[in-house]
Amino acid sequence: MKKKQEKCDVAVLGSGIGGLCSAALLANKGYETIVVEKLPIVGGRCATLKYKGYKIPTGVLGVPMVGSFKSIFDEVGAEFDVTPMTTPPKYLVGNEIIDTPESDQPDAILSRLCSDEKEIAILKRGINKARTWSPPSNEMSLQDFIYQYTRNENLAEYYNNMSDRILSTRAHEVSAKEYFQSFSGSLKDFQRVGFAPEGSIALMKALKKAIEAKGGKVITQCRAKKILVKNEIAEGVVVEGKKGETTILANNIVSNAGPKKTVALAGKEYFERGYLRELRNMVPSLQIWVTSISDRPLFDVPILYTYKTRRLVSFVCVSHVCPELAPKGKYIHYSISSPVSQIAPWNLKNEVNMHIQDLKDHLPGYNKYGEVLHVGCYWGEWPTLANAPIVGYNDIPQKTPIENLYNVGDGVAKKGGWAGGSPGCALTAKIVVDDIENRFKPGQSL
Amino acid sequence: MLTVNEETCVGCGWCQTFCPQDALHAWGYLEIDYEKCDECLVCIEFCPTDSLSMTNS
Ligand SMILES: Cc1cc2nc3c(=O)[nH]c(=O)nc-3n(C[C@H](O)[C@H](O)[C@H](O)COP(=O)(O)OP(=O)(O)OC[C@H]3O[C@@H](n4cnc5c(N)ncnc54)[C@H](O)[C@@H]3O)c2cc1C
Ligand code: SF4
Ligand code: SF4
Repeated sequence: MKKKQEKCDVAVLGSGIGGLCSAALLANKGYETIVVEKLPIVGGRCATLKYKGYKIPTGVLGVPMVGSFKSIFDEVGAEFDVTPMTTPPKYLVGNEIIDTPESDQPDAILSRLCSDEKEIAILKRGINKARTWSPPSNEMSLQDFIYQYTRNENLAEYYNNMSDRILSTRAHEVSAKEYFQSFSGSLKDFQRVGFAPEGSIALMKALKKAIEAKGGKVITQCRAKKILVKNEIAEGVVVEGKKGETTILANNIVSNAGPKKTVALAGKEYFERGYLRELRNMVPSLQIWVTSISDRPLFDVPILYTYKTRRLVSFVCVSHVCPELAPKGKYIHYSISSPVSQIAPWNLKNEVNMHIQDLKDHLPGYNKYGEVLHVGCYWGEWPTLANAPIVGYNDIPQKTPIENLYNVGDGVAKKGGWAGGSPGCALTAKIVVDDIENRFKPGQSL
Repeated sequence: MLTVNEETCVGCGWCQTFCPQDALHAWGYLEIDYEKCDECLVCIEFCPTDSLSMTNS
């Protein structure tokens, strides 16, 4: 029997943010694009699970409403159904709720955490220098950076929570440089943030629709099995779908499967050892997502940042912004925790139990009205961030050692403030699409 | 019999939400209730880490 064969300009492996953003940009520029996704749904860690009438995010919850991710929707004309969050967060320190004035929140919270104004002034001067003059070294942790200016435990805890929230890595492990650079990188995109009322998967479905409108294809339940390489140049991919195996010949291959899987798909023999060593040094981070439900909101504002807990970092009462995520009359909440260290071993069951004990101990009313609906742990091969910005870390380039084979997604997120999340993944797509555009015209023969 | 590969399962709980029989429970690890599982194979398709398989017992 003759094997099935197809041809296109670009084959995209995986339909996460990196994959669908790349494909949407390419299709919009006239490239014949095929996306294959092994799972029955699109979106990867930007999807939504429906469970007992509730919607549970698989990753992306807070959607940046400006910047790299949003601009792709504008460029390709995809619907961006996101409700902005306008209420400022509150802070829970131990069991005390700190309500700060709407403006200038970080400053206000620092004064509430430390009464010594002089010490705060010294710390702020150091931080200002790091942000506006020159960031500290990639070899220094954020905690060591803060300790240069203060030993105040409350202030240190504030930065511990901050770095965990934005980079899923605690202050004693996170690169101080990456932390400060993210303020001019992905955090700028989160200045306006919202939630998708139909779940973040709606955004991924909108990109899929935009790809299809330009003649591209997005095929689910279709797994990339082998990247074909000849003379160190990628020339196609073997995929297996519901109708059996097909060979897709393509000028360029864009893999969203993660850089390690890309190596496995193409064959280790094509990659030099230094590159493989860099991949081995990546530390994927763990976060635990607990979904809780109740008949009443468990908190009065959408976001609560939690300090001085065992593990809990934040609690999101999302129903205040998007009631659509729960059945009528019900409320849904997401909470996030991380281990004390992303490097040291942890016991996952204990981590989950500590998260839930934190909810019970710190959230007023949780014991009486709250109920755990679902527990999701993201780490290892299915992580929160594929390459956590730990002190001394390196980023992986989007281009692989094999010509015409690129990676996109958080495994190849750019150093300098773009460690991951939707802005970081969208940026990898833009970089790769720009490069393809410079090298190939749509329809250019192989 | 449904089997989970404990080496690769991360405990994301995707499978739990797709099981029509409510036979799965994730809590940092996955528990399978064999009394409820009717071997429909749905969960296997949805596991992002390919950790589920059906074995002959
Ligand atoms: C708990 C948690 C909370 C988060 N919160 C936020 C947030 O609030 N805001 C934010 O911006 N970011 C958040 N993130 C980060 C964000 O989810 C990720 O950075 C982003 O979704 C990763 O996208 P990606 O492009 O790397 O693709 P992925 O999501 O990793 O998708 C890759 C896709 O490729 C598919 N695939 C793999 N192998 C193959 C193959 N061989 N053939 C075909 N397909 C294949 C997979 O099935 C998958 O669908 C969070 C992450 C987690 C886990
Ligand atoms: S979907 Fe897969 S990885 Fe996730 S809990 Fe189930 S078996 Fe484990
Ligand atoms: S095989 Fe079907 S019934 Fe059994 S656990 Fe999986 S989804 Fe549930």
